[in-house]
Amino acid sequence: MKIFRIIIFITFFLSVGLTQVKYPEYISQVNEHIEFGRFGEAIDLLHKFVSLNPRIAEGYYLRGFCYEKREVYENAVLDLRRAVNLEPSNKLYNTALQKTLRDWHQKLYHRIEGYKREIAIDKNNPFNYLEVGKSYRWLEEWKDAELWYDEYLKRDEYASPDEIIRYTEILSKTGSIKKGEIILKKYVERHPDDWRLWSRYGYFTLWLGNNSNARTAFLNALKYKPFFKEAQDGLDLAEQKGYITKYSPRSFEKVFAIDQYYKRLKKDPFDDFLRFKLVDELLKENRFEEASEQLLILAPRFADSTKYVEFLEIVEVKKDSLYQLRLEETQQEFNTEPNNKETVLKLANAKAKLLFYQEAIDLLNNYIENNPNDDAPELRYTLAQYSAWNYNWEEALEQLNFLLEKYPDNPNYQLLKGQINVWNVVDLDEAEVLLHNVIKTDNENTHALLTLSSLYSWKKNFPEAEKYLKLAEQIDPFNSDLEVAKSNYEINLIAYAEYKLKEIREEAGQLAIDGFYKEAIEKYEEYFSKISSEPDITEINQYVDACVLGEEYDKALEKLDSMIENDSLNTAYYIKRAKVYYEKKDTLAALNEFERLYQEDKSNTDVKLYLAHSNMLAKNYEVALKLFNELLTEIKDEASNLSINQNLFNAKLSVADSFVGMKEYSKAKDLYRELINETSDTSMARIIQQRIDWIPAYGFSLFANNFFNAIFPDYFSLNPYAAYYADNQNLAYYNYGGSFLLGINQYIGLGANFTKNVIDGKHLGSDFTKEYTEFKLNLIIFLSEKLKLNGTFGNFQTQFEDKKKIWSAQLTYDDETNLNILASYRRTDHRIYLYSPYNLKRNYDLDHYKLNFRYKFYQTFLLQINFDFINVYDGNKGNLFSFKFGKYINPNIVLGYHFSFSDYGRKDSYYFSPQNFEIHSLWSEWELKHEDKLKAKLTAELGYSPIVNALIRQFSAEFNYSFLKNLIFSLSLNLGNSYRYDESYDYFTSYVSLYWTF
Amino acid sequence: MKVKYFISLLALFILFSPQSLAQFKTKNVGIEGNKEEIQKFIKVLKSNKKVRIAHYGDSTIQGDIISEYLRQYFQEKFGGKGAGIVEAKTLNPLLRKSILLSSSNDWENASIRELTTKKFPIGIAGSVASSSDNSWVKIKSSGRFKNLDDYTNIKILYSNANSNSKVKITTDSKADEIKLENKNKISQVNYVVNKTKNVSLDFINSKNLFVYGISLETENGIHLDNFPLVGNSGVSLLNITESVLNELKEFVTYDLIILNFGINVSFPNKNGYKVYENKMVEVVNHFKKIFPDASFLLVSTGDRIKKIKSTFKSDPEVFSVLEAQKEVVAKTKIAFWNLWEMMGGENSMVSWVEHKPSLALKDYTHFNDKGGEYVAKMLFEAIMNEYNK
Repeated sequence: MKIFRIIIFITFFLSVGLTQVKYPEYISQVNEHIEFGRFGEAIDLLHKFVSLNPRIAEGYYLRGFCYEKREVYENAVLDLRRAVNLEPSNKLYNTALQKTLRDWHQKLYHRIEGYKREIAIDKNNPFNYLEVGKSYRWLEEWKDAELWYDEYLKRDEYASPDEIIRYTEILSKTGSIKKGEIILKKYVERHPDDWRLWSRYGYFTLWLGNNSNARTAFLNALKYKPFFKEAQDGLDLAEQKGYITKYSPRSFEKVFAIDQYYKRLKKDPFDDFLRFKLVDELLKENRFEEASEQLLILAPRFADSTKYVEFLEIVEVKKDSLYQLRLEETQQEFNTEPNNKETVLKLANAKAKLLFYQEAIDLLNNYIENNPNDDAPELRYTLAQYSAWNYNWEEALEQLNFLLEKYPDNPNYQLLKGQINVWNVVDLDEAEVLLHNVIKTDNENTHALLTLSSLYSWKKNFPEAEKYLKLAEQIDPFNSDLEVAKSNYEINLIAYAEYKLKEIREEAGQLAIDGFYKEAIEKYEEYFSKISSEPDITEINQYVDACVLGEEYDKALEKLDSMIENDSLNTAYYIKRAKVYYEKKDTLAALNEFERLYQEDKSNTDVKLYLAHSNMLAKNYEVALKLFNELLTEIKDEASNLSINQNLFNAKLSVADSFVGMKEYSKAKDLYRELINETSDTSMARIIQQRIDWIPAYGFSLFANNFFNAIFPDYFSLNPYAAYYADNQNLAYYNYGGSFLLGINQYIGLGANFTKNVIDGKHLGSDFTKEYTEFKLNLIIFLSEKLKLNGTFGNFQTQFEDKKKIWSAQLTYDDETNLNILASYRRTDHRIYLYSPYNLKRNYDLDHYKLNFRYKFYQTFLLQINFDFINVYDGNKGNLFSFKFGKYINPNIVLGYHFSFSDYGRKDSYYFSPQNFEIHSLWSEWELKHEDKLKAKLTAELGYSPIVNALIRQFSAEFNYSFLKNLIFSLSLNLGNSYRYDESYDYFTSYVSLYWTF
Repeated sequence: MKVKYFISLLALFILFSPQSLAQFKTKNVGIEGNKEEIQKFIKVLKSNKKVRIAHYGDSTIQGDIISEYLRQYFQEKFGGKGAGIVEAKTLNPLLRKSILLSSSNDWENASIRELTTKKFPIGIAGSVASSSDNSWVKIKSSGRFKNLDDYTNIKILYSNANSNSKVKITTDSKADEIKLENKNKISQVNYVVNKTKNVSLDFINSKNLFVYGISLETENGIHLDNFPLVGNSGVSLLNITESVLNELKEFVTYDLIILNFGINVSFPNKNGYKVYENKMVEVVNHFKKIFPDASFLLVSTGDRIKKIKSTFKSDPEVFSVLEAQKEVVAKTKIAFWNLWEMMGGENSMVSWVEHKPSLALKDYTHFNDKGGEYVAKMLFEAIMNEYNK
């Protein structure tokens, strides 16, 4: 206490000293600031000067001058008027005042014009009317001010109490007292806690001569703000008390402590000491809600301080008792007027103050139900608020939707709906529109700004979130929600980077699940490049798995090597690396690594299992079997463990496999059967059954198999066939015959074929018809599933000629879909190849070399090249070349270009042997059907031969039909035509066969 | 001299060496509150009967976080397989890693998570999915949790089927078409298979069918349903009406209901904790009325962090939430497990985020998979302590 007194004394001493001693220095400092344009600093000094020297006009003049420079005309005019009042004859002050008024008024008129232009553009924006009204008020043109304020109020049903106070000042100047009384009545009902409105209402009713109402109004004002001088004076007037006035020339400047503290805190919001003083004052005045708000601001720094706790307790206790009292009062009012909207609202408010939200909600709902014709916007809005506070979001939205349908531009409704959406993170786009509407009408609405900041945080639009956060902070740096919003924003920002990384990782995982391993690997690598720390073992495992599945073993090994380099004690990486070796089929590395790991930790069954598998891979079946058997015993001990159970199953499967490897088929079969009984996985059972089926014959069955194999061939096929060729030159050629083939085993087939060939040129005479027979033995060797070697050897015979030997060899590769290659040679009689009725009596051999290549690539293109070389033993030689290139225009149709060329050594008159004969064609193949049962293909060609100047047309059809699985019927038909202006050549060929295998 | 010099240096190093703000110091926390409450559940556990747990929570348990491991621990010890009740259409199914759920896009979903005005009958999961003519759902094994594979019963809880409605159920071993009952109340399909890891459901002629959940389970053992109500404080559970719950109760009844909320409790108003407290009391009483034999366990909020200037500190609101939750426990006489205390109390979330490997996301609010595993382990141990007494 003693120290406190000393401080007060020193402060007082110093302040007196300042007043008396430092006046010239103050002014000199102020002038210096003004000289350098530091008007803010000058104003600060002048505040102190004026408070120490209230009757020195120069202080006001200089401060007014500074305000004028900063274009704060309202304050400038006030200060200059004060200066003139104190020194009315001072020319300087008068001139300054006049100049300031002139400049200000000029600006105000410009401002009015500006807003009037805005009104011409948008007649409905109340803000523009308000600004015009305010300008006229500053111009002290009261009539116009009233007019424009009227226009403003027509457009903003929910004008703030501040604006109403200003409006009533105007009305008091224009004498519109009744008008003022009406609007004030409405506003005191709407804002029953606002003492300023009550006081104004008191004066207006007093001026209308209604002292009783005025008295009630003043009492209400004093209930909320005791000792409110304006209301106290009004009450005295209303009660017609004797009124003693005393000369108080600066009474208009008198400020209550609370107002003064608020003002000072606005300038220096960090003055916590002053804020505590404000709380103290507020508590004295029973203004608990305001005190509570101030305590919230102090909470982060003083929550543990004794003073804070003490104040908080007072607030809580007093607030509750006051609210309880108010509740009882309003309950009584309600009991007398249960259907009076204002009373209902008051009671609901009182209940809500005590957090009885549900009761308040029920009460308000009850009113709405009983008064279906009353829109009751204010009541519904309150209901929406309480519903939201009570977590009844849907009910809140129901009311807000109703209100917004009727009053779509109301910013309060828009704000609450926007807030609810953002709080619940739903319909953010709608909320965005609503909240922007709110700040269009009130750009300083911190609730809307903070909600927008949260909204943009949710939308991950962090620059926008920060923008609105900063705007709110500038307007109200001590808003209690600001800190929460700031923290949310910053944490969201940090988390966002992590979310983005998580997204990349999840995308990589999904790609791997979907089988896009290459893309998954790239995503994982992107993820690894972006994370700040080393990836964890799970991530490494996932990446390595993707690499293994994508057969990028080296990448997996590279990653694991680098992880091992950084964390050489982590066995998990070594195990994973060994597994990659295993998957890569790097048997030696896998074996060495698993052996080493196993020696380090013999209890690791996973390593042991892989060691066993690696031994299997290395064909060390005995070691593998030993390890598997050990595992069986070890794993059985922990049979309850699901994962071990799976291993047990796998181990047994591997043991069975190793039995197969060791040719212990009986044991393998028994174990496989055991596994089929064990598994519930039907696909696994099928796989195991397949393995049983693959077991080669052994024991008695092996003997029986060998015996039967020796006696019976693997298969037997019969193939009768016939072919026919005819042209419009009266040539017909046909043959018929058959072949059979015995499959000695799956690689070798032996058979024979017989063909009768007839060349029929009867119309030319009997000499032009001849029959030939061919008998050949046939050997087929199946080198692989796709590669086949075929050789024939036999006799060629015709009447009146010696038998001759014919033979052939043919190598074919056929993968059924994409690639077919054929290379062949045959020795035969030239008449079988060079059909001609004029050739029949000429007996020459012919060598025929053939190379066919057909390749379908990228599932889009088809390339077909055929080359034939003919060596006729009459000295002539010929070659035929054909090139086809086509594109699949759909999966079944190929369309392309065909070039064919044939050239013989000499043109022989006995048979067709053209020289330099070429054809350019457009060609197409259409695979009508490609099913097991039926295959059908059409080919069409249209070409041109420049040498003979002829159009070439050709059409063919091929059909294969399976009557039974092993009985196939084939038919091919071919129709050709070449046409020149003077002649045409037509031909027809057909081939039919039956292929029966059993 | 040299020794002294060395010791001084060492002392200085120890004193001034950089230390993390928060040390990772978790605490074994037992079941508190009304312990007798949990005994009802323990009794059922010991009886070897089929047991069912509902795990309701906010985004803390989204994607089966915590639940997946809690389920695994329970099923390993007491048997049972399968993921329990799964929603036919769920918010962000990719977040759930324990199973792989995909559904056709033509489902219409209503949930208490959303502010929907669609008046759908919300089911036990806090949601309901309404199908189109040919909607489908596929649930595949993710391979992560063996206890979720090889379930034997596929149950579909539904209502509002029309006379031609059918569902084709395809499992690993068989497929059947089953007619759906056209009743005025909730019905159930119980499809029994030998064992399956995957299931596909194709709803045929089922426009406007309400599907409340698909349960993957076995005839015996323990099953745990994960019900995340993202963004919710738990209060919205009151929106699951008594009538719907009573109908569902014929098919699904619980032995333990875990309420795991708290991270979304911070607004709308400053005095909201009292409101929250009262509302949660209503929630517990609402469920107690339907499931009088169930035990109730309230799991407190975890620590959540607020960034104040450059430091990360526990959000002061966490303390208010905790107080409110303790009040709920006291008023409803249910069991309580203090997750916040287990985590290490004040500022502990920082240490969970900074832990190597990290146990929580950098939003300083949510656990990741590993954190979820840790929480589940500690909670399971706390329950087992009561079991072993």
